[in-house]
Amino acid sequence: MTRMALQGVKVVELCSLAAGPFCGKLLADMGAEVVKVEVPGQGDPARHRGPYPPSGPHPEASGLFFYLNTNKQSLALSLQHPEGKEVFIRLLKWADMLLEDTPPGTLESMGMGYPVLAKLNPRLIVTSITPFGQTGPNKHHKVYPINAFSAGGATYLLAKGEGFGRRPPLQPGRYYGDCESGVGASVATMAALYWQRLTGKGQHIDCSRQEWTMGLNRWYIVRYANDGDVEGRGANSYPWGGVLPCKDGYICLICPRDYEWDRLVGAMDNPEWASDERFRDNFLRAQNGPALNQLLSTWLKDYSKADACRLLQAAGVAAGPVNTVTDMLDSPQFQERDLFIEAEHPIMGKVRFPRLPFKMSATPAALRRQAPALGEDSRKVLSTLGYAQEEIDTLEAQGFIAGGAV
Amino acid sequence: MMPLQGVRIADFTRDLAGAFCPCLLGLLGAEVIKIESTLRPDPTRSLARFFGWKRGLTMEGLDSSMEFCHVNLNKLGVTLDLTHPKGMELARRIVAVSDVAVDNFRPGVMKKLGLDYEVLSRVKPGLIMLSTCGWGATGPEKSNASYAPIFATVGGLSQLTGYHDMPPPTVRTLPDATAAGMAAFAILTALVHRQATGEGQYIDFSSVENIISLVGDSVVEHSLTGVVPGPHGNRNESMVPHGTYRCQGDDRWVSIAVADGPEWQAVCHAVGHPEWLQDVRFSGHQERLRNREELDRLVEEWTLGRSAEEASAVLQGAGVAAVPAYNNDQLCQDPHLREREYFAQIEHPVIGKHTVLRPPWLLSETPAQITSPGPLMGEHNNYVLGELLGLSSEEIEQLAAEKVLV
Repeated sequence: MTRMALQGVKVVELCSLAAGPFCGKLLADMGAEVVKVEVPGQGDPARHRGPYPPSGPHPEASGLFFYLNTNKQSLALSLQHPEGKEVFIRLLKWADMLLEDTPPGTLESMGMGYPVLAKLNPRLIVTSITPFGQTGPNKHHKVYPINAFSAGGATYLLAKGEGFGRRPPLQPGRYYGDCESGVGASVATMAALYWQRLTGKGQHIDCSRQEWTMGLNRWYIVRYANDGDVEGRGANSYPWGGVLPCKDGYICLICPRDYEWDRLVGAMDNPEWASDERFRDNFLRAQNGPALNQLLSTWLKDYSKADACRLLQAAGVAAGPVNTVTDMLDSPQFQERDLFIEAEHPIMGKVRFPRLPFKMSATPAALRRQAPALGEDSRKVLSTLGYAQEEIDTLEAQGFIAGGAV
Repeated sequence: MMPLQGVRIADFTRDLAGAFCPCLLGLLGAEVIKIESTLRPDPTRSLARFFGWKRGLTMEGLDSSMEFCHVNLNKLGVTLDLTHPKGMELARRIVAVSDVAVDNFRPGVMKKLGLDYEVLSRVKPGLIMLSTCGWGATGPEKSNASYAPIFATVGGLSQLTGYHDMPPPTVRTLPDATAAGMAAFAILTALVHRQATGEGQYIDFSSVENIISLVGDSVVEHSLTGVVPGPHGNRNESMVPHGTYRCQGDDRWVSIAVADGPEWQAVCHAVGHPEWLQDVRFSGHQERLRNREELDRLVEEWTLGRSAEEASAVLQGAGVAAVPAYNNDQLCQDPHLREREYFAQIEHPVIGKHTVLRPPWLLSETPAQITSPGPLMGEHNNYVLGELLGLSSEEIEQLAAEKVLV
């Protein structure tokens, strides 16, 4: 088997739902050994969210949990008792890094603040992924995904224009906001890992999801600080073009440059209106955006998504369909790139999901195992840490660790 | 000391999706050499009119764009005509002293310039090269042109966001910036692999696939249920109330998410409506889900009477997840972000002193830092060609006269 990029990197994940687990998934899919620590009998709350197969809700059959936790091991461990804490500390001595998303102060109150952990294991990287960071007046504020995305100014900026501007600021589909903040945490964590491998030293990383999300929209955020300009929601994201209707759905057409306009006009077979004075240059086209979009929509109504995009792309105009999941599954592009992976799950049956969005020539990401059942690896992990079978039996009998199904 | 100190990156990227990736690595200490030319400057350099125009900045000249500066922080700037044989040769020599090369040209362009992985990996054994574009380096759609909103429509996000009774949203900026984050992660995994083995590699990155990976649970849902997932507005299948609610002021909103019975009780008491607890329409979770529109109306009656900050403070005080759906002026004045010093001042030779966001992570031992603003055109030609490549000043003058450095 080829070596994986993060082979031998030992990660402990004390995170739930989506942001932290997505960061852990990135590491696990690249080959890191990720031990996910979960509460016995309950597990990650993602286990209790759908989608579920038609057989109905089951904590070992959550599609969301599956997607976020491929390639990880599950240790069901109670951190409420000294015996469980002792196991956790031995785990952290073994690990290269801890990903954690507990509210600021939680680890300190358990006697495991960063300074303590650094003494136990000077190599340890501790990445804290929280909504507002470890300091500041809002650090204890509670969030669910829509709140975290709002904190970063992103619900406000996500969808604009006449229609969306009249409606409330909008959440993104699925767990998009959470997952993207997991990506942010992964970047700093990997840089710290690189430095750890050079120097043998660990550190603490304070990742504020609010700050990462704001950083993605940085241009719009600092406009006020620099120019006093309030970024509103009334104007369209693009003065013309954008998502437009066609025969069987919608396409997205973005055409900000003059030479692209010429190509677009050519692709439409030079309709008379295109030489109209109102559309003479980019400035005028922006002024007359609604009228222009009306004419484009009229032209598009005879085309399917696929035909319109083929025609426009052939002319060098940036256009793409608004894809549903089935459109994506049917796409020859994604089929040729083997984008979707299939696994056979004992309860869920056939599960299909996308691989990571990049292909590495020497160390490709791989599915080594499916998402773990709660506590599936408890005994194995403890044995790796040097616990004897009898000790493990005792801890299990006392309920401090748990194996098997919920 | 920064974590990636000693890592050098030859940066052939442009626009946000490309340029922000090496920028993130530069904020973590990598030395990033941005290679461009006045013949084909990074298009972001022409975005000065978008913000900054009030400060007298114009699109004339290529050094006055705040947009460019903010996604090219910490980079060195070199101007090379890559269509000139001597320009190509100098680019190869820069790669020869680098660890990583990054580009976001369409597939085939780097090969035409004699700068593809096959050539560059001979020039520099152990090189890590990442090429990013919309659809990836292979497949029938590989040559397509695209902008951020097209990543979102083709990658499924747009279809999963918004409302059934409206066209899907045109999502600006976020899809570019997140792709850059994920690409930075991919490069870092390759760097860690190279640290262990000395082996370099080629990474084929797709911004469309990146979006799919962030909403990948929708693909899982389809495989489990056969349902084609669609948009849900601000609804959540298990939380109620859930959404963004209008507050006092002009387009001011607060996001509120309530998961279960105890949180619902806390809401009723916090907003001074304990009688809601007796209301048969809201007596249980199922009832609240069924009557969510009526509930949303009542909640908004309460939020309308106060500022977003006040509504959030009252609810957070009762343990309820509520955060303003911040816009840019609220964020720029937010005490929490001020205490965390998220807004930094930098000095730019043309733009002057202005506000930018500091790096979005706080690392305890090797802090990420802004060390310089985005480079002026050719600002570091002498350092890179003279000090790094060892050219004499006469040779550099000669190259300038021959319009290789342009």
